[in-house]
Amino acid sequence: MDGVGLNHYLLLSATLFAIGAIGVLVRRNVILVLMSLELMFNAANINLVAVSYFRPDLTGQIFSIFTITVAAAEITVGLGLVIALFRNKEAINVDEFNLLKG
Amino acid sequence: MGSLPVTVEDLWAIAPELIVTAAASIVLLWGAFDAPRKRPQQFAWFTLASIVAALVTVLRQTPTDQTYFSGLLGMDAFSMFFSVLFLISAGFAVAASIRFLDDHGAHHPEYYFFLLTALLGMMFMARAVDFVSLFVGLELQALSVYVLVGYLKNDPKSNEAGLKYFILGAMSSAIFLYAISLFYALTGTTNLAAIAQAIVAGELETSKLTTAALVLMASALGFKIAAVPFHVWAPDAYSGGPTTVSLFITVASKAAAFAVLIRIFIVALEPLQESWVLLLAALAVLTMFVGNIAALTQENLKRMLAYSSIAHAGNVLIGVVAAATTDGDARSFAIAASLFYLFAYTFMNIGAWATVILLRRNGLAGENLEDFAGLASRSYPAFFCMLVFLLSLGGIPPMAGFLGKWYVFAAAINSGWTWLAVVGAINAAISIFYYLRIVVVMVVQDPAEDATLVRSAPLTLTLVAALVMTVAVGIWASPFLDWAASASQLLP
Repeated sequence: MDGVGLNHYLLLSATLFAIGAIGVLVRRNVILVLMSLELMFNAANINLVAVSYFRPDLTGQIFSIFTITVAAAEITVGLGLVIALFRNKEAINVDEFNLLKG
Repeated sequence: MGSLPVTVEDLWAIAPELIVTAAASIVLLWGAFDAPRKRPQQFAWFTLASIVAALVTVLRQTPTDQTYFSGLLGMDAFSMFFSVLFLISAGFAVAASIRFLDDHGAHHPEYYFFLLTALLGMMFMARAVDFVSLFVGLELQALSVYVLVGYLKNDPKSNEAGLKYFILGAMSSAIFLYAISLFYALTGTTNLAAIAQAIVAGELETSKLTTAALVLMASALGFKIAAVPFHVWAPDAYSGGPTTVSLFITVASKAAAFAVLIRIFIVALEPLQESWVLLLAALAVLTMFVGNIAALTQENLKRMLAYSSIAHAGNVLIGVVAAATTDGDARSFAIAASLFYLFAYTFMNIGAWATVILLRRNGLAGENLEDFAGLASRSYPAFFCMLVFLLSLGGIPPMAGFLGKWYVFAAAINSGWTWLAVVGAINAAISIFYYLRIVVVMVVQDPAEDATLVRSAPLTLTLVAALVMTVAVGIWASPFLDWAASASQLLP
């Protein structure tokens, strides 16, 4: 079992999480923001499954099935909101959503 | 074939949640078949009836130290306290919504469906004793609330508020999940009590990873309770969304997030207390100062109340910090003080938002400070209600808000956080400025000519009930304090 160990997976997921977080904060296109969010969720999933494999303990794998479902619902709601917004204001960049201030 | 893993006991334990689930499903299906949608009010009454039924069921249950569904859910006095709080807030929100939605031409059964699913998520959040159930409950609540904030489809402000809330909320959920996965990596379990045991047994080897997990967890929960510096979504979400939704989420969502925060930090992460208690104290100080100072300059009343709600979260955090650094009776007292604060805050805040719903000008919702001009001469009862709610929010005796602040500060002094109590008191003084500013506008300025009040029986009832409770909890506090004290016993 030398080669790929738990730490490699943790490192991979930390990288993915960082890429996702930067994407959410830096990207201007809402669709790309949603994709970055998905990366953040899946980084956590990699952790859960990897730990579950190396411990070994099944909870993590069950948990990841729950989180995959939740993430799907999350994106559905996000896209719904984007469509509602797009109908009123033909814009997709977050900079253009500036009605609320203060 | 083994036997079913679910027992009758399990089902009785989640009876209130089952009622809410059934009501939500019925509202959705009934709404789909009620094609012309002629009488949307019937959904409101049905929702209200099911909320009352769930409330009665919660009050008939007795707290135990058992866990249900293979250790996923508990039924302690703590979770029951919060369930009652959520159900009361939801009931008020439904009553306040009826006329409001009619006026906005958006009275659809889906509104009540999302209200009920948000309520369901909150109830599960309060009683979850495992990260799996906790996360699913949190997400159920959050997803429903995003939709509710963006509910007014044709109002670009509501859309924008919904999307902003969604992006930051989903990001905080992802951070929360990542923190959970790190704690799972560190301790090998998702059960809150087992995590505490693993920490005590010294299973945490890598201290850097532990720090990262703690910071991520604190920031994710900071997002959920709208603590500064993670509060940027809150003023937008609360001021852009429908006022009735803001009424609901400034109390119920916030209380649910506090239930989760208290359970995670006081139960699971208590052994690591030294590494996070200063972090939470700093969050509390920042939250109070930024919330109160930003509220001073707001012209939009919904935004002002949003910042005030941020500041109030800072006060509750003081109680949590106090609870973390003590043991035994002092800890119970500090948790009870936080719970009592949330309870008192529920009524005064619902009342203040409900008064905003009353106002209308020129066919539009009146949300600005000038819409309150001359309220004292236009309608004395409405003025009197708002006055009581504002004084209570400002912490002036004999209203409920005063006792809430009093007990939280007492708990802080009791556990050696005198400077935190002093900061809280300074902030209470700052907050009185902007609450009194509204009172001055109501008394001194002349009303605008086209300003009207939208009266409806359910909304009046909401106002009266909130008024009675705000005064009653302040004057006749002992039963509510006893209740909060009994609810401060957490599992395990």
